[in-house]
Amino acid sequence: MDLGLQYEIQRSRPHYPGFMYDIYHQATAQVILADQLGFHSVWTVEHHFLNEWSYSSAPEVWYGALSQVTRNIRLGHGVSLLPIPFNHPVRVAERIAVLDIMSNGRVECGTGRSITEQELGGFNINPEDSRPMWEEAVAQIPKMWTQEIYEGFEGKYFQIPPREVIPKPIQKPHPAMWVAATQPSTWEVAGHKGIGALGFGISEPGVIDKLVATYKKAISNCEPVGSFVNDKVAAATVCVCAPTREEAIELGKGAIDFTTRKGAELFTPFANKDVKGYEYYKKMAQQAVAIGDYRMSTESLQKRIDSGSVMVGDPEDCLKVAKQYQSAGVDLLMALVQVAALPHEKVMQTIELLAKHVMPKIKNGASAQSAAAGA
Amino acid sequence: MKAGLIYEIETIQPFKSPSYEADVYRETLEQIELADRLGFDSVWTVEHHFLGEFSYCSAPEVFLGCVAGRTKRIRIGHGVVVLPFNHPLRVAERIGVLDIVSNGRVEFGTGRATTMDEILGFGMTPGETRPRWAEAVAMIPRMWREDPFTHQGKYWPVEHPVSVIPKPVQKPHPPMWVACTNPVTFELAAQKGLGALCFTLGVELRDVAARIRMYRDTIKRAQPVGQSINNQISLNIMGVIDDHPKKAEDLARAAVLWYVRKGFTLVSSVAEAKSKDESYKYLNTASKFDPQQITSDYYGFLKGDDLIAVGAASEALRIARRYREIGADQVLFFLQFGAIPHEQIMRSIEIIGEKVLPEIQSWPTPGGITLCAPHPGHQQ
Repeated sequence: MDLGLQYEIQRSRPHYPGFMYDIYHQATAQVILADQLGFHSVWTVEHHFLNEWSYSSAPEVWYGALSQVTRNIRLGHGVSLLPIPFNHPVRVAERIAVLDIMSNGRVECGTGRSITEQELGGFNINPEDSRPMWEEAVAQIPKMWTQEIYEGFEGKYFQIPPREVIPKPIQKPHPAMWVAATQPSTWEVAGHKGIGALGFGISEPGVIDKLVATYKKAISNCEPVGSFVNDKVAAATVCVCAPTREEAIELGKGAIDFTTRKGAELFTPFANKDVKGYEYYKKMAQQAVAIGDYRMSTESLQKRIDSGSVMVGDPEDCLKVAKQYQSAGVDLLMALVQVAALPHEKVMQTIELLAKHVMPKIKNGASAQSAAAGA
Repeated sequence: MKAGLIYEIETIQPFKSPSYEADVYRETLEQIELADRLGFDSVWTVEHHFLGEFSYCSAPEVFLGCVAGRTKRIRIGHGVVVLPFNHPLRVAERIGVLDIVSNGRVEFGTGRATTMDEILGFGMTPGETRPRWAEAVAMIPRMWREDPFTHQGKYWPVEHPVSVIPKPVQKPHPPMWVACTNPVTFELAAQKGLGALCFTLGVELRDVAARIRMYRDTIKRAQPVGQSINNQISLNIMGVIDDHPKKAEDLARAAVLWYVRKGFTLVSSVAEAKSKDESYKYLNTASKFDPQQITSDYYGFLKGDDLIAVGAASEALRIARRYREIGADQVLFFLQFGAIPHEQIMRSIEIIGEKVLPEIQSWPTPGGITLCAPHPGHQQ
């Protein structure tokens, strides 16, 4: 299994003047360190308007800068939002190609459709259109990369005459494609389309196994949208690693509280509505609202660490969680290390400890089967 | 006066090797890195789509991010963001992030597209590009000063209040510009308090001078869209500079003619289009040219009328001085065009940087940026 980082570019309140500048430059320093330490990839969301939760509204720009200060780490869009009001499919194809050139072929193209009412509403997108918009775009983008003169498209949401979409990416036939998958139906869609599944919002052990099985079944009989099948599963999890479990709990409690509470708050707009394609989030939101107070006691966090459901703890604790994902068939674990208001030095500490104690023990060769056999 | 570089990122068919496209991109960044070291004030890139050979710079937001990562001091200009093709919320966000990662080095140029390939490619008509630009150019600075932001408009209504983040680090916001060719746009630029990025290759200097005078006169009564009035004129100097003027001349002639033929063919498509819009009428001049008729005489006209700089350092300085005389605040050297090889572009940059830049930068300029309150007409 590969180990990567996942960024929201997050900062919980209280805020101070200049904090947006600081978190960008800190995140850049963190990725430079991760590159030096051999992390496989860094993935960054595209979110709009979500104060506190994410300041990464233009990952394409940050990635341009990152491509010049790193050497080996892969740059994954986790994800680019494809409904056309966010990003015209031609613009996505062009941006990925330029980034692929400038990074020497290090781009992973993750895609998605957005799951918050703030974002869809801000861009005047009817939530029911988001998936069909994504479906149109995700099938056209690979053609823009591989056809010298792109043949054009007459779709419901966008139409374009034949055009020379340039430049072309340098990875041939084209960069690997993925989709953000939270609800089970998206895992199935990912499989059907022959693209990788980027699992977000899955923290319960046992759940991932079922999702991977759904995906594998679908991909065994897929109609790939790209020129090749990207049979890969990734999963994201919040991660705070410290030399001792006590320190990790001290740091991680606030972080887990924040991500749980804020995450729930962001989904609640769908809690009282029936929106086609977002039923799953309604259920999720209702559960979250029912919880009410998200503050976690130290004991319950201890329990979750013991069960391996959060990647918080000392290096041994974190390795245990990583191995669970590995044995579930995950190819890439994306650690969300920069969360809530964790101080920069502590994020750097997490990255260093993961590189030293976790990465070597889950690296290639230690595939799901052999890990299971060894257990 | 300020001096910078401007790029279309051109590649000429047939490709020299399979990696040619990528090589041109990497070489461009190398050239910019050199310009940064030599003290050039700024580098600008266009945004063009689908225009094979003429411009491979279809995602300047990514490329300029790369420039921010690779350079230290040089200012980073969008010359320009094509506003009709990009949701204004996304443009404001991208400028915010670029300003942060570059430590406040962004110059924000705007425009509306001038070729049919692009306009039709994005499903638009020539008639809607200017109103779309006008709506967006007034929205974007509001997104930086109003939080939450809403907007009632024709093209991009934002009914749900949103918080546009992150904000740029330059306060009140990065300087704003608009690409200007025809006199109407110069006037619009001045009315809105925007700097004028002149794309006036082929327009005689006395006509450019008249447009600049009109701009300076109009900007006194500006109703600015942003919180500053960017009273600045930027002119492009296409050129090849070498210690051996003959060598520069030999290289430049074919490349300049290639560029002009290609450029006129592309922009004349709008003028010729059946559905053409009154606002593109100025391009009729271009459409009258048969590209094949653009011969050495035309090169002679450009050179003779001081519209390009081909020769030794003294020639670059002489043309810059001519532009200063007609009222420029900034000149942008346009050195990567036609089939001019990378090594020659590096040499041009080096010579200009060492022998021309110090003098240009010592000249006082007529314009500048002043802070102001945005005009009430641009409040929601």
